[in-house]
Amino acid sequence: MGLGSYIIRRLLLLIPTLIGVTLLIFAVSQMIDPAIRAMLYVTSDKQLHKIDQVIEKHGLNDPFYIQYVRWMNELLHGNLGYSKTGKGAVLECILRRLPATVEITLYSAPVTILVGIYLGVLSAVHKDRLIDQATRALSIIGWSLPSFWLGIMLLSFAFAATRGVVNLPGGLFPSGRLDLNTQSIVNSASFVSYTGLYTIDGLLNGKPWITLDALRHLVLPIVTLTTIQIALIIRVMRSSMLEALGKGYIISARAKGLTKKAVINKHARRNALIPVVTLSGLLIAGMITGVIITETVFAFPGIGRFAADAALQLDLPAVLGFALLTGIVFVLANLMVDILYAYIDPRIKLG
Amino acid sequence: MDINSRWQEFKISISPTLKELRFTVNRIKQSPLSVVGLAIVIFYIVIALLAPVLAPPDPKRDPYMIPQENYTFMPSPPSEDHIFGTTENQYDLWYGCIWGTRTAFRIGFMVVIGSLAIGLFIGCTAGYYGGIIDELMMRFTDIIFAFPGLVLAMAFYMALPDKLTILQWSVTFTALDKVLVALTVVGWPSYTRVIRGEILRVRTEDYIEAAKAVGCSDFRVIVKHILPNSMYPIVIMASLDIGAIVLTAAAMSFLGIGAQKGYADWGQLISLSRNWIYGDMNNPFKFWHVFMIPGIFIFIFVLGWNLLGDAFRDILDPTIRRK
Amino acid sequence: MMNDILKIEDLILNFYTYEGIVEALDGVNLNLKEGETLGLVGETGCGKSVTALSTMVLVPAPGRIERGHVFFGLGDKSLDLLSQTEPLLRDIRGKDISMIFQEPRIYLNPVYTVLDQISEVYMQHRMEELRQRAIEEIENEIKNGEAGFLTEFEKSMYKTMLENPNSFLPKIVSKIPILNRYKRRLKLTLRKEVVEILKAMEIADPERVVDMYPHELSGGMAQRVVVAMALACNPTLLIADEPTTNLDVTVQLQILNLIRVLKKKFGSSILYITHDMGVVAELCQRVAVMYAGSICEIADVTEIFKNPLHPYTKGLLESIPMPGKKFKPIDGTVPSLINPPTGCRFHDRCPYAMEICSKMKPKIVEVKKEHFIRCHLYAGVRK
Repeated sequence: MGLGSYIIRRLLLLIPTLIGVTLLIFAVSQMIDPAIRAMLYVTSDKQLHKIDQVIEKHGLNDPFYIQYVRWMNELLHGNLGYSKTGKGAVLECILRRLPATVEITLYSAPVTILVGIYLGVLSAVHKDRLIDQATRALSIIGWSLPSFWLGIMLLSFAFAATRGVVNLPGGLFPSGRLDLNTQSIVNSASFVSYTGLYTIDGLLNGKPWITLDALRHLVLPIVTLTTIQIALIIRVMRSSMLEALGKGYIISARAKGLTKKAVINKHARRNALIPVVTLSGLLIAGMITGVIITETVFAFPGIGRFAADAALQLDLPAVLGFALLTGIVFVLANLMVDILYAYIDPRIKLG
Repeated sequence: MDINSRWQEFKISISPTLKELRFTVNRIKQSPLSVVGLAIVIFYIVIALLAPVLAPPDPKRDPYMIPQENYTFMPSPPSEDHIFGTTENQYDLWYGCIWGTRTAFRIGFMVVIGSLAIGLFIGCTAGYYGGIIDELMMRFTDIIFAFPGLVLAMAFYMALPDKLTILQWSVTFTALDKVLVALTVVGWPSYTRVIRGEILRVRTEDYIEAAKAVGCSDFRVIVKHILPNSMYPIVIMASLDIGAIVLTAAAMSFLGIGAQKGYADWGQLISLSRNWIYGDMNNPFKFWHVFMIPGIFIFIFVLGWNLLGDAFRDILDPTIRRK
Repeated sequence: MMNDILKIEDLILNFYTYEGIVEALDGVNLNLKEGETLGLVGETGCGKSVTALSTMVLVPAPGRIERGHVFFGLGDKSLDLLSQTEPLLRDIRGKDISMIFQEPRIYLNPVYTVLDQISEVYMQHRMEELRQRAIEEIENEIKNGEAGFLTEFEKSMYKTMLENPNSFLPKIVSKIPILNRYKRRLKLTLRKEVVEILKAMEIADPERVVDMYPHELSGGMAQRVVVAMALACNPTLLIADEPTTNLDVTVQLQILNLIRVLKKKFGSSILYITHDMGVVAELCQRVAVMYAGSICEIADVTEIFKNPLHPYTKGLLESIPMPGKKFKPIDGTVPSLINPPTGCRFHDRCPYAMEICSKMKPKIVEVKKEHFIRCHLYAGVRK
C-alpha cells in the first residue's frame, strides 16, 4: 500500500472524528439555557432584542437530534452565529483576527524547535555532565513558569530597562502589535494587506519600518512562548537521541572510520529527529490554538484573545465557534503529523 | 497462631514492597533535583496545613475570602501590617498567598482524583474487555483529547449552570467549582489512555491467567492484580499533572473566569495586578510585589511538583531500574 | 616464517559500572598471522566482542583499556594501536581493519539506503582515488570532443577538491542549484563501485538492492551488505563477530562460503569470533579458546580437536551435542566478572583443579610447536 492510499484511508477516518467533535460541542451547548443558545442563530444586533421569537423560530426547545441536524446545516454554510464581543458573525470575527495569531506562531515555532533540537542533542551527547544538568534544569524551570506571569515580568523588565534608552512609548519591547503611528499607517488606504502579517506586508508595501515595528513587538511574545515550550522539544530530542546513540549502527559507523561528530550528526541525529518532527507539528498546531494567554497579556488582537474576551463576556457563540475550529485544526494537524511520520520514516509499513 | 508468628508472616509478605520503597527513596536521595522537588512540596504542604496559624482568618467570614482593610484602589507596598503588601483594593497579599496554597492543593488534588476516577473506570473497562467497548470508549476519549485544554475548559466553564438539579439533589456551583469540573472533564482522557495501555500490557501476563483460572472475579483481578502492577506510570502522570492543573486554573483565574475577585487564589491575585505592571512615573518597579509574590508562589509550587514528577519518571522507569 | 598481522599483548580492560568494576579482560594474549583465519571461541560473556572492539580501539564507555598493547602490522611497520592518535586510528578503521557484526539489521542505519551506507566507506577512505578518476574521465571526454560547457568547470572543481580536501569553494558551489551538478559524476562513479562490490558478494540484482532500506532486506542479504561495507577498501584484517549466529542455518552456510571465497579473492586475514565449534572446524586454520577474560589455549584447528589440552577446551568439545554421545555440559556457570575468581578464573569449575589454581594465575606455556596453553597442569612442560 503506498503513501497515497494511506492518506485517503486516514482522510476517510477523519470524518467520524470530525462528526464526533461537532457532536461534543453541540452537546456542551445544549447544557445551556435556550435564551443564550439562541445567539447561535442570530445574525445581527437587532435580532438580539427579540430572543423569544428567535427561540421559537429555530425550535430551540425541539429534540436533540433535530436541533443537531439544523445546527450542522448552519455550520456547513459557514454560519457559526453572532458574536456580541466581536459585533459580527463569529466566523468572520475569527478569520479577521487569524493573521495576528499566525504571525506569532510563525516566528515562535522555528525558534522553539531549532533551539530545542540543538540543546537536546547537546544534552544527550554530554549526558549527565554539567551542560546536560543545566539544560534540563532550565527547561523544567521554563515549563513551570505560568505563561501570564512570565509575560508580565518580561513586560515590566523590558519597560524598566529600555525606557531610558530609547525614546519610545512603552520602551523597546512593548505590548500590542504595533505602535499607534504605525497602526494608523496600516489601517490607512495606502497600505495593502497582502497576507495580514505585518512583518511581511511591511516589506511588500515598501515600508520596512513597519516590519521593524512589528518585529520589536513580537520579541517578548516569542521569548515567552519559547521559554515555556522548549522543554517539550528538548526532552523528546534528548531521549530519542540517547536511544539512537545506543544503537548498533553507531558502532558500525565508527568502525568505518567516521569522526565522532559525523556519527552524531549524520547517523544518530537523523534517526533521533523522527519523533521530534512529529512533535513539532503538534507544537505548531498547539500554538495556533493555544496562545490565548500570551495574546491577552501582550494585547495582541489574535483569535486567542478574542476567545478570552468572549469567555469573559459569556459570549457563547464565539467561544463555541472557537472551540469547534480549534478542535478541527487539531484533528487535521494530528492527521498531517501522522502522514508526515509515515513519509519520513522508511520503516513504517503503510499496509 | 500467635501474634508473633503473624507479625513475622506479615513482615515477610511485605518485605519485597519495603525493599522497593527503600530502593526508591535511595534513588531519590541520589538526585539533587528530586530532593529539591520533594523539599518544595513538603514546604507547601506545611504552609497549607498551618494556614489558619500563619494568617488567622476572621471567624465570621469565609476564610477563603481575603480581608481588606479599606478599599483604596492603589496597592500598598510591604509594611509591618502587611508583610507582602496589598494588591489593588487593599487585599492583603500575605493572606492571599498563604490561603492560596490551600486552594492550589484543593484544585490540584480534586482534579487529579476526579480525572483518575473517571480514567480508571473507562480505562479499565476499555482495556480489560476490549472489542467494541474498547473502540467506542477510545473514540470518545480521542474526541475530547482533540481539543486544546484551556479552550475546552473555558467552553465547559461557560456551559455549566450555576445550579444543577438531578432528581431531588441540587448542587450549586461556585465559580471555583466550575473550574474544577471543567478541568476534570478536560483531564481524564490522558489518564484513560495511560491506564488502558497498562491494562493491555498487563492483562496478557501469565499471573492474570492464573488468577482467572483460580476463579477470581473480573473486578478482583483488576483491582488486586492488574492495578498494583500498572501503578507507576499513573503516579508519574499524577505528580506532573498537578503542576499543569494549577497552572491552567491560575490562567483561567487570570483571564477572569475562575475564582471570583477577592478569593484566595494565586491566579486571581495576579489578575488583580494587571493595572500595575508599569509602576508609576518615577519607578517602574513600584508595584513589583503585586505580581512578583503570587507569581513566585505559583512558580515554585509547580516547579516542585514537576521536579518530583520528573524524578519519579527517572526512578520508576522499569527499563532504567536496577535491582 | 609468516608475519604477525595482529598481536595482542597482555590486554587488560575494565568496565566501570553502577554495580562495580567489571574486570572484562584479564590479560589477553593472541596473535594472528598474515593470511590466516583465526577462530576465537568462548561462551557468551567471556570477552570476545570486547577484545574485537579493543583491536579497533572502539570500546564504548564505561569501558577503559587499562594496560596492554595491540600491535598491528601496517605495511612493514608495526604500530601499537593503543597509543596512536585518533586521526590515524580513523584512517585505519574501515580501510585496514574492518569489522562485521552479529545482527546485521541492527548494525545498519534504518534511515539510509544501502547505497548511502556503502558509499560512506568509499567517501571516507578512497575519495582521492575517485576524484582522480573523475578528472581522468573528464579529460577523456574533452579529448573526444564530448565536453559540455560546464566540463571545464567540473574539472576545476575536482582538481580543487583533490588538492585541498577542506577547501571552501566546492562546499559553497554545491549549494548552488545548477552548478552543483558537478557532483553527479562522482555519484555515478560511487554507484558503479557499490554495485560492483554487491555483485562480488553474490547478491542477485544489485542494481535494485542498492536503493533499498535495511528493513527491506532479508537477514542474509543484510549480512552481505555488511560484509560489502567491510571489504570495500580491501582491508588487511577483517574481524567477524559472530556474523552468522542469528541467521537461518541455510543462510549461515551461504555466508560462510562467501567468506571463504572472498578471503581467497581479497586476501584478508580474518579474526573469526564464534561460539560454534562446527564453524571453527570449517573455516579456521588456528583457534584461540577464551574463558572469562583471557585466552586459555591457542593451537592449530586439527590439533585443538584431536588433542585438546586445557580442561576448559576439553569440556567445551565434550559439551557439543552429538547423536549417540551422552550430553555432558560443563559444571557450574560463567562467573561474574565484578568479583572474579582468584588465580585461574576457571578453577572453580575445573575437574583437575589443584591448590595452586586458586592462588596464582598460570602463565602461557608453549607445550608443543605452535600450541600455547595457560594452565598450571602444564606449567612445567616446555617444548
